[in-house]
Order: sequence, then C-alpha cells, then structure tokens
Amino acid sequence: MPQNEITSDDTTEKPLKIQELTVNVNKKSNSIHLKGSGRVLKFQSSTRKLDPIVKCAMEDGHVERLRMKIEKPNRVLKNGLFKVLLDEADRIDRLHNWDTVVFETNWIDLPEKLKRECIDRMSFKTRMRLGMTSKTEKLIIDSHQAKFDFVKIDENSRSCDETSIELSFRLRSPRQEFFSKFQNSSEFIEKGLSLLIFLLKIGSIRILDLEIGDELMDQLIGRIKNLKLRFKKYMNFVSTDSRGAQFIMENCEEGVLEVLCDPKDCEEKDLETFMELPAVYKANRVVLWHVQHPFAALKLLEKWIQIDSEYNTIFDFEAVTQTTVDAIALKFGDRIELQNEDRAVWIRMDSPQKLIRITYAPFYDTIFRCTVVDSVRPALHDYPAEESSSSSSAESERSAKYDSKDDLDFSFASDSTKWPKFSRIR
Amino acid sequence: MSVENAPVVDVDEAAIPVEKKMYYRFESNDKKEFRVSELAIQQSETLNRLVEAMGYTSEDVENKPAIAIENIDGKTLKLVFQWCEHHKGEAIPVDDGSVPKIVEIPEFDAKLMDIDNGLLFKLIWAADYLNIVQLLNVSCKKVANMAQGKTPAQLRRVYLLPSDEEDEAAKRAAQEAQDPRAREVEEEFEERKRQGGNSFF
Repeated sequence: MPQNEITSDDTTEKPLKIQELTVNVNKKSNSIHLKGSGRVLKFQSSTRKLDPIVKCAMEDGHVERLRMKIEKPNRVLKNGLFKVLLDEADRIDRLHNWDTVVFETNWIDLPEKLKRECIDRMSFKTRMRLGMTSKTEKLIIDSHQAKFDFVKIDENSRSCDETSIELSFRLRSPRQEFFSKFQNSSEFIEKGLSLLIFLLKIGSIRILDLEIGDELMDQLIGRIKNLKLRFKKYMNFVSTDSRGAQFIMENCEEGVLEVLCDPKDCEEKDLETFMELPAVYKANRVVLWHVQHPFAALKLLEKWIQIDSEYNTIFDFEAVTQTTVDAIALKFGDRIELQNEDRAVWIRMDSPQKLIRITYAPFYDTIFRCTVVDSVRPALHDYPAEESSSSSSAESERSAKYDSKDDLDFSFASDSTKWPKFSRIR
Repeated sequence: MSVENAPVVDVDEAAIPVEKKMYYRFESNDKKEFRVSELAIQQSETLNRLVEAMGYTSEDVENKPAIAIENIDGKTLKLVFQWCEHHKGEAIPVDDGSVPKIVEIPEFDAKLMDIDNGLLFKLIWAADYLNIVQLLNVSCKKVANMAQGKTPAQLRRVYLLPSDEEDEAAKRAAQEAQDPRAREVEEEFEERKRQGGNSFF
C-alpha cells in the first residue's frame, strides 16, 4: 500500500490539520483527499463505511475548505457533512461550498412526473415490486392511475372439476393479462380482496365485471366505502339484490357508458332508487335481467325525458310482457305518440325532435328495448330497408365510440325488417 | 411514346438551386459546442420554438454566439443531439391517451442508451426539458426495462434507492443539521404554543 494512503480501518487517526477536504465518492476512486495533510483516505466499496471517516476527519480536523462530489446518493453522509459545515460556519464560506456540491442523477433525483412516465412503461408486477422498496415509492405507486381493459371477479369460475373464484384483469399499457384463482370465498377475502380493492383504487377501468354474490359484494362494499370508482361499463349478473350495484353506481365518477345487472330479488322501491341514480340514467346503455317490477324500471324513461337523453340511448330489460305493456300505458298514457298493435310503442319526449321507441318480442316473458330516436324517423319504419341502413350507420357510430361486441345479443329486437307496419293514432 | 424514344434533355446541375442546410450552434453548461441541423432540431419542441423565435439567418448562425443550454452538460447534450440527428424528419408521436403506450426501442437507440445510470437519468431530464417526446418515450422505457423481473431488494440496488431505515436516518440527520437559529425560533414558537399564547408576536 502506498504510504500516503490509509484504509477505513485507520479511522482512529490523530486529529488532522486539513486545508481542504475533497470528498469524491464514486465507483472508480472511492477516496477522500485531504489537502494539506497530503493524505488520501481509501475506503471500502460500501458507502456506509465512509460516514465515520468523514465525521472523524471533519470533527477532529480544521477544515478550511470543503469540496464535495458525491455521485452515489447518500443522504446520511450529505446531511452529516452539512451539519459539520453549519457548526463550522465561522470559518467556512457556506455558499461557496454549497455551489460545489454535485450529486449523481438517479431514480430518487427524478421529479415525480418523470418517475410516473417510467412507471407507465413498467409491467404490473414491476410496479408492485417498486412500491415495496420504500414508503416514497409506495406513495407514488398507490396514487398512480393505471388503465385496465377489464377487471373481473368471477365467483363461478372453474378449477378442474371444482368451482373457484377467479380474479382477472388486463393492464392496457403495457398490455398484460393476469389471472388468480381462489378455492373459496374465505381464501379470496384473505388473499385476493386487497388486490381487487387496490385495482379499484388505482384503476381507470373499461369494463368492471363483478360477478360475485351478495355475500362477497357486502365484504367488498365494506372495504371501499370512501373510494371513487372509475369505469365505463359495469356488469354483475350474479348479485340479484340491488345493494351492491347501487353502491357501485353511487360511488363512481361521471361518464359511465353501460350498466348491466340483474335486479331479480330487488324490492320495487330499491329498483326505483337505482333507476334514479345519475350514473344509471345518464348511461348510454342499461341492461336489466329479470325485472320483477317493470313500473319501477320505467322510472328510467321518465329520467330520460327529464334530462333529454341523447339519440340512441338504450334501455333493455327482461320482464313479463303484459304487465310491462300495462305499466307503459299507465305511466306514459298521455305521451304515447304512436302505437303499433304488433309490439312497438313510441313515447313522446319533451323535445319535439325525439321519441322513445319501445319494441318487444311476442312471448310471455320477453326483452323490451327502449331507444331514444329521431321523431321524424318513425315514419321511415314503413320502409324497413331505409330504416335499416340509417339505423346501421348510427349503430356503427356507437360501436366505434364504444365497442360492445361481447355484450348480449339483442339483434332480434332491433332488426327493423321484422317489425310489423304501424299506423298513426293521433 | 416509348421510353427509348423520349427526348434527352441536358440538365445543368449547377443551375439547380440547392437549398443550403442550416446548422445551429448550441453550447452546454460546461461550454461544449454542438452543431445541429435544422431538421434535427424539429424533434425538440423547446429548441424548435426557440430557434423560430430567434429567427436566425445562415449568417447569424455563424456569427452570433452559440445558443446556451444552461441546464444540460456536454455529455448529455451530445447524446441528445446524436439522437435528434438520427431521427430527424421522423413524425413526432402525439400522446392523447387513447392509444396504449407500446414502446419498441430501436437498435440505434438501444446502443445510444447503453450508458451508466447517471447519464441515462440525465438523458431523461434533458428529453423532458427539451420536450423530445420520442426520446423521453424510449429512455423511460429503458429505465422501466431495467426494473423488469427484479425483486424489491434488487430494485434498490439498480435504482440506488435508500431503504426506509436510511430515509429515516437521513430525516433525523437533516433535523439535527437544521440551522440552530431556526431551531431556536421553532422551539420558542412551540414553547409559546404550549403556554397557550395565540400569537407569536
């Protein structure tokens, strides 16, 4: 070893007289130069071992000038040195020395905006692991919005010959799909629920498909009380009680495009309350299965009239035909503009340009399709081909705006060529 | 008329006006000078606006002092301009959020970014500051790729992240290093608060 070099073990050296202390911490040199004393302190690769040396040199020596060049970010060292600097303020030109500090740029030096740019390009697992490195990174990851094509929890999934609970989701960018299976609801609550809640917390979700029963739904609701959900399409055909759907629709941001659920066991009053939720009646499309209370479901059409819904807004619901037709007559008797004796009704909206068209199939239990249409266009139904073409362009516009090909097929109800002709009844 | 029968016209090449390429001069904060073509500058929204606003002629470019970029050092700026020259004339991607961010790192970019972490992060800073969308894209992707498949402990080493304990120690040290006068004022303020005083003054 050269004579003018000492190792980190020599920290118990006698007090030093130092004219200038140059701290140059990088991979190559790993050294502290003590100008005036003609010594170079060599330390080992771990930067932690540097602290006592510097502290020792700074406290025992008389430093006239300090130059620091720290390429590895070491806050402990930095703060330790500044403390000594401040204590020695009488003899040190603080500002001058401050200017000489050069830090290496690394992840922790990036502003949050650039960190988020990098996180945007990381896989989901990498994001999670980064969040586990420190509290600071966790805060960023927990507040970093991620776009998901879908988040789905399916209570009736299969694992070989047994049913299981499957949580799946697809990150939009980078496009990655994940699946996790849980044997039963208690395993899901223990291991999967927190992940689902995290996804709901950070996610801007295109399709939120919660195919879970009332029990799991209650568990979920209990854990997301103060969460504002972001999704475009909500689906749940397993939970037949409207509480879950109601909670989800009450706690979501504006801009929901589709709502699909099954209010089979729903009380009339609850269903009416559900239909009156802004997220529901402002959606472009609402689909309800097993509607037991059509009069309550028709509340949605009242809301459409109130807010003057846009053309091609759709409400599909499955109900008993005769009860529903009676309910339509009772609720909108004075608004029925056109009626077709063969399963088609037109209801006048407040805007003279708009009508609500209701079509249904000739069965005991059927699907009713309600659509906001142009008031001039019903006359075109006498000419099915023309209607069909104009309708298809509108439909294609809708589908371009929001692709819903994986939804239920109601084509029989919208196929105008199958509609019988009608007559005006003014 | 067939190709063979077409009349041959002699063209005086010297008579064709050749558009002279303009090269701007930039200077980094460590006084290193770079000459960058006009087309390459278009990759950077910031620099493009700057040179447009300056309205330099070819003579101005030669005679006036180099445009100083004070936030970026020569090493980083060299990489930035190498990238811009290689990608000059390419369309600048528009990120409106509708398209998933799928980033492929081209071979040239991969070689260019085969550098140490410090320089790579400086490159990100520079790409952001100079508003070079695609360079920011690929450099962030490179940083993201560095983390791929790493455990949290490995990530700490790759990104030189301090652990929570180190962070806490740093905070404590920072508190201790606080200016004694400021500390005195703070202590006095706390003391007055404890005594129930409404105002410090």
